Amino acid sequence: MANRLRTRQALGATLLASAVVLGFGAPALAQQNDAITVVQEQEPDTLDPCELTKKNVGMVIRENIVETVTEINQQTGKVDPRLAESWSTIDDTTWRFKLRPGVKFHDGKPLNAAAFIQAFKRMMDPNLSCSNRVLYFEGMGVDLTAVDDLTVDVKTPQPSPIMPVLMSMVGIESPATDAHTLVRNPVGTGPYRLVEWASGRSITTERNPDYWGEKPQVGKVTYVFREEPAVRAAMVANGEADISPVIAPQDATNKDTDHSYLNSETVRLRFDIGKPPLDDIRVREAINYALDRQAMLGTVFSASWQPAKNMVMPTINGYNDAVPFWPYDPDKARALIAEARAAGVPVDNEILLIVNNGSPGGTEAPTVMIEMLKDAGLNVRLQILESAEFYKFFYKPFGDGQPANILFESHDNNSGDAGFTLVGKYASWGGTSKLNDAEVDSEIKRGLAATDPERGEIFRDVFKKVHDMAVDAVLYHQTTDTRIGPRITYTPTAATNQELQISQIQFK
Amino acid sequence: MARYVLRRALQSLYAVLMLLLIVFAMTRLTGDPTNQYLPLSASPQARADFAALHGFNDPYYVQFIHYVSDLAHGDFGQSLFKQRPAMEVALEAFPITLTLAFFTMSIALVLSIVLGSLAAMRPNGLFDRMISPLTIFTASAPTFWVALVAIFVFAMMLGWVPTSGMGTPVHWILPVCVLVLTPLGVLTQVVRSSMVSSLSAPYAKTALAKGASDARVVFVHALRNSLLPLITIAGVQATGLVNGAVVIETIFGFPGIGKVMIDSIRDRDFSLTIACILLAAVVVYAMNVAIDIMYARLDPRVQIGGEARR
Amino acid sequence: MLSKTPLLEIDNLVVDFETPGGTFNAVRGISLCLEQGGSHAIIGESGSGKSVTASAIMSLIDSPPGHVCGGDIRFQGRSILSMPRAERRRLYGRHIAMVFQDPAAHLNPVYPVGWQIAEVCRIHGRPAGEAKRSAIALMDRVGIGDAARRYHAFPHQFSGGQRQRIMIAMAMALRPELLIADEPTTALDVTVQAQILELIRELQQENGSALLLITHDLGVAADIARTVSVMRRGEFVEEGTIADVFVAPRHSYTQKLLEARTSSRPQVTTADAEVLLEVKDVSIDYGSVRAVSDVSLQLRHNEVLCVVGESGSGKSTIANAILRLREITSGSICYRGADIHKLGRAELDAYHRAVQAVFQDPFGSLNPRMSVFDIICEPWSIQRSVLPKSEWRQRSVELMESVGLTAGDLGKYPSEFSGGQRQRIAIARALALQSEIIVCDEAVSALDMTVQGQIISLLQEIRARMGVALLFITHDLTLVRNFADRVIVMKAGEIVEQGSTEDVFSNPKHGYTKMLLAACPVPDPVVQQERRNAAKVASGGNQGAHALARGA
Repeated sequence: MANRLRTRQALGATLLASAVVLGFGAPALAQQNDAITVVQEQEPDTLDPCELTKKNVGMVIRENIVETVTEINQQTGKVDPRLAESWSTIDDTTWRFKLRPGVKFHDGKPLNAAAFIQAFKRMMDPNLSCSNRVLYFEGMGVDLTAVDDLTVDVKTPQPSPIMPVLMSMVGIESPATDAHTLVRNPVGTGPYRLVEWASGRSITTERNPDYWGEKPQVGKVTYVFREEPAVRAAMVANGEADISPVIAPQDATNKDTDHSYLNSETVRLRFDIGKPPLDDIRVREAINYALDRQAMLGTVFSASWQPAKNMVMPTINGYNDAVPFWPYDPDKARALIAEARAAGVPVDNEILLIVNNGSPGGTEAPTVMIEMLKDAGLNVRLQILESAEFYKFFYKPFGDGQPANILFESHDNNSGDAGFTLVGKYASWGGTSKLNDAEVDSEIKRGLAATDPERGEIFRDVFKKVHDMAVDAVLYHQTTDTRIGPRITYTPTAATNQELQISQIQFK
Repeated sequence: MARYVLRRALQSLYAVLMLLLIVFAMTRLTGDPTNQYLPLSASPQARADFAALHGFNDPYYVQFIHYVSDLAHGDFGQSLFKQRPAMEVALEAFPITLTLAFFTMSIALVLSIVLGSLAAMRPNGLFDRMISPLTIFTASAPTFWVALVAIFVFAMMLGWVPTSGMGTPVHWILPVCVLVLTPLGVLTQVVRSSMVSSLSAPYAKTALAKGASDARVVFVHALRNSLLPLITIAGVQATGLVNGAVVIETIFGFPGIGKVMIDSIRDRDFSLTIACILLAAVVVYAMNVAIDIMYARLDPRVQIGGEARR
Repeated sequence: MLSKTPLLEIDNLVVDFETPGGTFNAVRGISLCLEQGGSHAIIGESGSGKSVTASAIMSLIDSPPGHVCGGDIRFQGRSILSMPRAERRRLYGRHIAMVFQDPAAHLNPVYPVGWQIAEVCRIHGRPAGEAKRSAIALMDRVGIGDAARRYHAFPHQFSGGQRQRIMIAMAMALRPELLIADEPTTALDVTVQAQILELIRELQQENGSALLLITHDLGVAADIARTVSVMRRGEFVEEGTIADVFVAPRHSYTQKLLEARTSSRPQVTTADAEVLLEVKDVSIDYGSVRAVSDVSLQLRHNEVLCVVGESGSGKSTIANAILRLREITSGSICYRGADIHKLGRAELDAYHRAVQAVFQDPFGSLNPRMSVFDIICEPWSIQRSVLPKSEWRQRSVELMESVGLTAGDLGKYPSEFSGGQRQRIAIARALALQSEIIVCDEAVSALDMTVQGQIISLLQEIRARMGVALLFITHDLTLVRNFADRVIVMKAGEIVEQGSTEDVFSNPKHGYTKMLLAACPVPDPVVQQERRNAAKVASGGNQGAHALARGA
């Protein structure tokens, strides 16, 4: 299936790309003055501000219609002000946020402490399935109190040093927003306001004349939705759309319009570290040495991907550049396996390579990897699973009697802080972690409670430690290809995976 | 007639209930939507809460009873992903699919009758030899491929039509043309073969013996008899279209029922899946009744509802 | 007759058909001349080329594979074959019209009959309103009652006889100079056949049309034609006035045709033989319709009992009840004194062995996917105890030879045989279990006349040699006369007359029997003329015929 899909896409890409090369891309619908069209993969299900960390929702509303309290700077990885002008710690468990004065919602209501608190409480309401809460705030017990009209104290039972980072996930909507259902007509403070959502067809926004910040160039935005990547690429080439944030790698053939950027996703092989033969460090090291990461780029994985050594992007706080890459050394891999065999490790036991159907690389990538591991002397069998079955291996609780396995997974962290990654992937209580190491656990806990610069140092140590233990085989940072039409300029960043700030788009 | 329609409706009610049970069982068997719906890094606690909120932890029979009793009150449930009433989502997508299917079938029927009849007038003649391979090609060419080639040629090379979307009537041209190919190919072959047999039927000789012209024999005497198999096959094709031309809807960005249904299955959005299937079942029922009635109109020997036409 | 030009001239016509096995010469240089108002019959068996001749006149030969490759056909002196198509179309329907054999298939099933009649007028330029009025008048004229209402009815809502009346109305709509009737009465009941022939004759006289009749039935030809051509293998073997040809046939084929109808039968006395089968007061209902009402009959050992009746008389229903293919509503059927509905399993098996059947349709009753050997052996494979498998081959060869086929035919499939041969196979199968009774339900009705004679001879021979009893069900009285020991005449589910064949034929008591006998055409023009007149008197003239027709 994945195979056929790829063939189809490749075919479509070839056809449409050649159309561009041949210069047939005559614009069918001329865009007028300051309006642009954005072609997305999928229509959002809602446009609720408490769902703005969901990709489809965020691409439309985040920082366009609804603004967040803080914002991660994609260049520096630091936290910038947005609706909050400044913040500081009052004590170990209390942060104080000062809101920007003079900001108005699209409905004319003023932004103030009460509005912030109401929006936060709405997000925390368990009767609303807000993905922001589920992802970042579930069970934290956050308590907000107004100090004055523009000042809010945020108190947590435990110290929460990354509260300013977390606040980049919190959007503030008008107090008039329905408290009981997820809404399709968000009212925020952003530079754009919603004009119309023609369900299934398009979403239209226009410039907010009363915006508190700099006036953006684009006056009107139409979002349309096409699942087929070849068609999205064709629309930009044909002048029917100005930007497609995501196109297929095989369609990215025009250097003038197509850009690739790190999208904050990282792929790795997770080892079932408690089960023989994967409980032996020589076997885990051997796997890392056996994989020819360079050779797989441009063959079974996209050529624009970058080899990785940490499970987070370089711009994330806690990234350790001092961790070395695993070199490709098949001889060493064979030697390590032989050594482990001699020491009585059951290296001939079958290991499953678990892959989710439809993950990048299709069936080819895991097949190639298995060949490399077999060459090292391991007995690995490929198991491609549908999502529901895959999750049984992926998430805790891991079922009893699951065979020793290596699992190919993709992880996304664009929060600016490595904390989520370390907890999820390496802490004994992490939802998808196989590691249970007391020292790593206590280091992660210490790091989570610390603030910079100490926090970054501790996280870097953890990355070094898990590398030395060969807990996993970190493979690549993934990239996304985007196509930007000739009328506009825009520089995609890792955040383009989650949001598309129209105010950053300029006309040529 | 009204009694017949009512009786068929009652009969299909039972079928719909059985369908509901099967679909419900199947949607439940494909796994817990919690993992699908919540992000990877959601805590186990968040997962448990989510499952509890939507009743995914209840035994299946309890979930089914809840669902059916809600249905009886006209509540088709909430779409998990869209956070809207499931039937509202399905009904929003349906007119688009119906319009697409209507235009496609109308064009396919008219063209197939003309082409099939012309081919049947001289079996193995020049026109027949030209048409037959063409119809086999259009009936079997993969829609996905044809759609992309069509976008390449007509939208990008020639610039006659937009690549996709459904804003203006011009936007409908390409998807309908691509969609029409399969039914056109199939139906032309059906018309051709049934016309060949109708034209060699004894009543065609009678017509010739009356001094009727070839055109009269073909379009008056043989055609009406050939419409019966045509309607049967066209009904099958139309049913397929009404249940969603998924590929076309996806490529051209037409938010029809097929796309909604496929997305809901992928997302394990149970209520939406079932709402779509129920809607489809109603339409299939209505089409079958319409085809039966058409059959009886066209062929006086066919009786419906046990009432002979005297 | 001012004009010396004949109405229709066929001049040395040659028609060939290309078949996978080579060229088949369907018509080999026949010539014919028909004057205005004349009536001519072409007599021949199926495959003789008589229908191809009619098709050639109407330009209805399927081409390919058939084509006229010699000779000419002239209508009023003008060559039809070399006429432009448009001109030919003006001829057909208006000046030359045709009545086909099977009106059920030749009427378009999806249009009302009135519309189809009116269509002839509209095609030839009459305004729609006038066409409709004359169609209704025509329907009335050919004896369709309540014509204005029935105008809107569809072909399937009429009986076979009525459909043929509609075909005739269609053909006569524009008073054509020439009417071609291709087997117009085949597949119709005998009384209906008489009415249809009468109707054709009347209309022919009213309109002064000439008639070209194509038939295999000598009686029909004698009834209606003045001159005749006997056709065999694409050639006319004998021509002349009907009286000459029938009274003094010169060609041996004509003689054989005439003999097939008149051969006498060997007398066998069975009056005091054992009663094998006794049907007592049997009634059978189809839903609320009583198909058979209080019928009783006896079949004795080695006897030929014929049940005669028209379709709907209940004769086949009785046969099916005896074969246990249909449940009876009341009464009883006893085999050797035992009620067949109260038999145990073993006795029932024995009964099914003893009673075998041969059905009308030799195409439908043999499984086309089974070889003849498999077909004949099938009864043995069902009733295992009868014959060990090692003897199947030997026995089936004997059976094949006893029905006039060869051992070599065993490996063939039904499609490789003609209709008569298939019926022989069916008889061989019926004999496989050494049955005592063979029920023949219209077993020869679908066959050509000479083949009918052959099959009847075969049945007579088998009866004499193997001592079986035959229950022979037919609508054709002429077959019965030379074959049956006793005759039962049924009408509307009841027995109206029964007795020895001699008695029934020479001294019919019931009016219906008399009418049947009168309606049946005899291949003797003089006798036929007298009988026709007698029948007219008996049924009260024309009006009576119309009244009958409405019921038909």
